[in-house]
Amino acid sequence: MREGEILLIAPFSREAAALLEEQGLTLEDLAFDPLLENARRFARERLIRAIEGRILYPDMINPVNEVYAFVAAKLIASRVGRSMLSRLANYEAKRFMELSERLSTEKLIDLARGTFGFEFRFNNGLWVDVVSYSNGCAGIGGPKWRLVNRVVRKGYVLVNERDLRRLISEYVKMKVMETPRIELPDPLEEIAKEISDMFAKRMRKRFKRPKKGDFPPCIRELISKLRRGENLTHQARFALTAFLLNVGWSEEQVLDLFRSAPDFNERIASYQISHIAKRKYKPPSCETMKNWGLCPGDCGRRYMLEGFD
Amino acid sequence: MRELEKLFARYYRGMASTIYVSDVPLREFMFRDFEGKVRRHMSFRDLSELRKYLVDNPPMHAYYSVSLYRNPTAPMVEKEPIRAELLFDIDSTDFKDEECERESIWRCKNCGLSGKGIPPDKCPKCGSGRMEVNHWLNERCISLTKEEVGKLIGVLSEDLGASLDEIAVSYTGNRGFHVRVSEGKLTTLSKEGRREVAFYAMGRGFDPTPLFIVEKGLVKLDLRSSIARRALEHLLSAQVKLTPSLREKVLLLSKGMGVRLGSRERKYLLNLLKESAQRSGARIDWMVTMDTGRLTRIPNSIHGKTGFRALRLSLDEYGVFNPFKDAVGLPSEPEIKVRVKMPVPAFRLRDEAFGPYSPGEEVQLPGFAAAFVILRGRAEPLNH
Repeated sequence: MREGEILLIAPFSREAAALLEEQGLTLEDLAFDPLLENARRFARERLIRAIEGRILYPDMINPVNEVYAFVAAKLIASRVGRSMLSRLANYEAKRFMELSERLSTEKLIDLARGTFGFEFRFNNGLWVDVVSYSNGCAGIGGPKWRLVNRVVRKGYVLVNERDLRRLISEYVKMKVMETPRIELPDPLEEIAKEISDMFAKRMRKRFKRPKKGDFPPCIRELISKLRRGENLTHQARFALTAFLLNVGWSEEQVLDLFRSAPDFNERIASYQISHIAKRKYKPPSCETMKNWGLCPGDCGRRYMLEGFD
Repeated sequence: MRELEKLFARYYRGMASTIYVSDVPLREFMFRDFEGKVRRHMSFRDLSELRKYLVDNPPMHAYYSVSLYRNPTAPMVEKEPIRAELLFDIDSTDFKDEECERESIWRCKNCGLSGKGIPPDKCPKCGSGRMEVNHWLNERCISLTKEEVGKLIGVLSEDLGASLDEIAVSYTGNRGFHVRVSEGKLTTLSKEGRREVAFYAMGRGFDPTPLFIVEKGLVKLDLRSSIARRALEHLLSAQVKLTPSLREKVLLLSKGMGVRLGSRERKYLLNLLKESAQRSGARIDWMVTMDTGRLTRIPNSIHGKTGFRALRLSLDEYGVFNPFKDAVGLPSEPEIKVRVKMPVPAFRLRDEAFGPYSPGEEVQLPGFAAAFVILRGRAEPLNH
């Protein structure tokens, strides 16, 4: 069982890729092989869980199935579209974050090194190379994650084990997002249709475009990211919500916009939005937006609401 | 512009062999000629083809991409980037330094009011924000930017782990320097990763809260962070005024000892540290660092706004480098007669003193000096 552990927890790992290679799995096998019925079933289940945002615990008996299910799920999600793929990416990242608690530090390091090319140093703590750290932390919000607030020495960044798991889970996200979009054989295509319908139903309250006016580029960027189903950091969500509420959008309209967020949860989102509305928060200053990495470039405005007040 | 073009052509005929760009076939090149026409998405098979192009078509500005591409001539979305130099741009124009801007001339595009010195954000007469500025450059611009180069090299090698032979410094040809890391793992940073690194070098976004260690009611600062150490040092320097009791605490913190901080005091100190981190960080344009699609001046080519060489410098050279002597690349012959349009302050090039000249004056100048005042937009060539 220990053998298969890494496959279960990290079906995206180099070990999993080696297994696929060794077994010579083809797209046709994945679609038609009667022995892989379970894998297809798990893939479907995985996608449903991704839409619902609940973690599915892996099949402990057959780790190979877990890898097949992962591969099928991402191909199907990619077929459905960018938003679905992004949702699956987020799901896989969260799933890894939860399950990887069971991995020993050594296994974790092996995984990061072998699968994602991290480099490590081990004098007085755990140090990750600055490039792997920076490329990974960029998707994580909050001051604690900024490189500038870290102990950095000779090309390495001091982290703890939890940090490392979080960083890996960002790489999981990126890896899933790289899945190509290809035509699928019928049995998989059918699952794709079903998932696509289910996903569309979830997002049915499609966002009716209220007038965008002349939004600053930072806000336009955030909106289009959301539309593409990309994940936004907590800070980005705050900035966007505060801005939209201040230019007259209703809470309901803002909520609808967030429906395409890969981790959308109606209860949490509407609580956050109405909290911002109640407190009448103003959007952050341009300076703060720059510090949060949310300013795409100088647009000439002195503050976000310039022209709206 | 014919006269200037001849000067540039002579430069490239004689100096093309000093032009060096690594990985030529994988880069995109861009040139601007003397009519202002731009040629983009160009590529060359090798260095000698690039050099030949420069000799045959001397450009006013010559740029190459910081990224290496599989298809350098394709449109942006199809170029397929491989990796990119990590580039830092240090430009004194961003510093708003009084001495450096002393001879700069600004003009309000709305009402025409003009003046000398640091350009105001808004026109003092009509309130318009539409300002055009004609910058001058002097020794101060260079000494200021050199300091930043030094800080940046320190951060790159001490903290970010770049080896000194991977770091290249070049004079931009105008009011600052470029520092680049062209090899090694840092060139595989993503766009967002580059922002993290740029902010690190600047000390921007520094928030020491995650670096505070609380033990038995005493607060310590994690001094393994070089930014925290630098910020404390800066707080203790003569430039910052602190109350004696706070100074004492900062001193203890800088020695790695714990101090008792009230919540108000803690907040105050936090803000001071944030500010100090930024003040003691390197002043770079982070947007340039983030932009992997960027085109940047080819080292040793001629800058079309000065006529100076964008000289590549070794880590020992940049400290003693003086552009007004070392970067003058255009020949002195032929001489060019110019008519002055805007006040030209006294300046020295190649140890020869020129000016000051006032508007309307007509003077005969050696090629490189004429080029300098013309390209700065302060004079125009007179056709003889």
